[in-house]
Amino acid sequence: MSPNTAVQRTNNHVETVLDGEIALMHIDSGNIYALRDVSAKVWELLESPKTLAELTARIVNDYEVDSQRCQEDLVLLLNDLAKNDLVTLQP
Amino acid sequence: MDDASTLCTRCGMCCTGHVFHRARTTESEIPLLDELKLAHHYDAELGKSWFNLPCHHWDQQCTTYAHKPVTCGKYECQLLTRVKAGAVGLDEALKLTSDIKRLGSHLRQELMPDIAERHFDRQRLVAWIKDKPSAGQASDPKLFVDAVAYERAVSKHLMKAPAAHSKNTQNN
Repeated sequence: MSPNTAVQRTNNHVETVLDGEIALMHIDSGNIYALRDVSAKVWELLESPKTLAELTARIVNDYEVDSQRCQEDLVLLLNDLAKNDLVTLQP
Repeated sequence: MDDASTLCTRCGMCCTGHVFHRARTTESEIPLLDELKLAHHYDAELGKSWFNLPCHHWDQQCTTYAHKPVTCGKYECQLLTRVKAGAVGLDEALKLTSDIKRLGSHLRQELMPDIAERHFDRQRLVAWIKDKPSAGQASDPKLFVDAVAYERAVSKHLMKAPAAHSKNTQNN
């Protein structure tokens, strides 16, 4: 994944926000995910498509985190979301 | 009124079926329960007595506060514990309980329209969740994820703290 990789939510999910937590369900698989804190923030940011670089910049701006570390963590999260068909990654 | 009392007075979800479908009582309280017209029963398997919830004495607040069963005054949920400890502010706690109630109200309307407003049947909700052969086959996926979110929040905040961290020995 490069900084220019475009990240976009798929439409195959439903979600509920409660107590600062986003409960997210993939409609076809029925798998449910609970996103909190930074993960929930990333999901909110993905309401419109973003590049990895844009996501990194927003998170670094909002949280006290090193840019390199932030991008590494984002790659892990986004790969996990993509593996579960919740986002698409376009090189 | 202190923060803990304000939270309990404004919340009341441990009385209205949002958390429990029954509450522990003792044989000695049966005359009081009869006086309050609270249906009760003895569970021979557990060897314990219970009265049923939702409590019809809850109407924005407890209408029989001075003569309530002992268990009602003893129950302490995890959210109340955190408010008492100063770990959660009253405003934050009230917003959370309000959000849970709002979601509960939506679920009640959709899944249990026969239940009176302000009341809830969590046992029925849990059965509805478990009854799904697969969450992915839910006829209304949004309702399903709403129900799961509700359950997570109730379990996390409105159940009592684990025994090792609680002074409350009540078994609701």
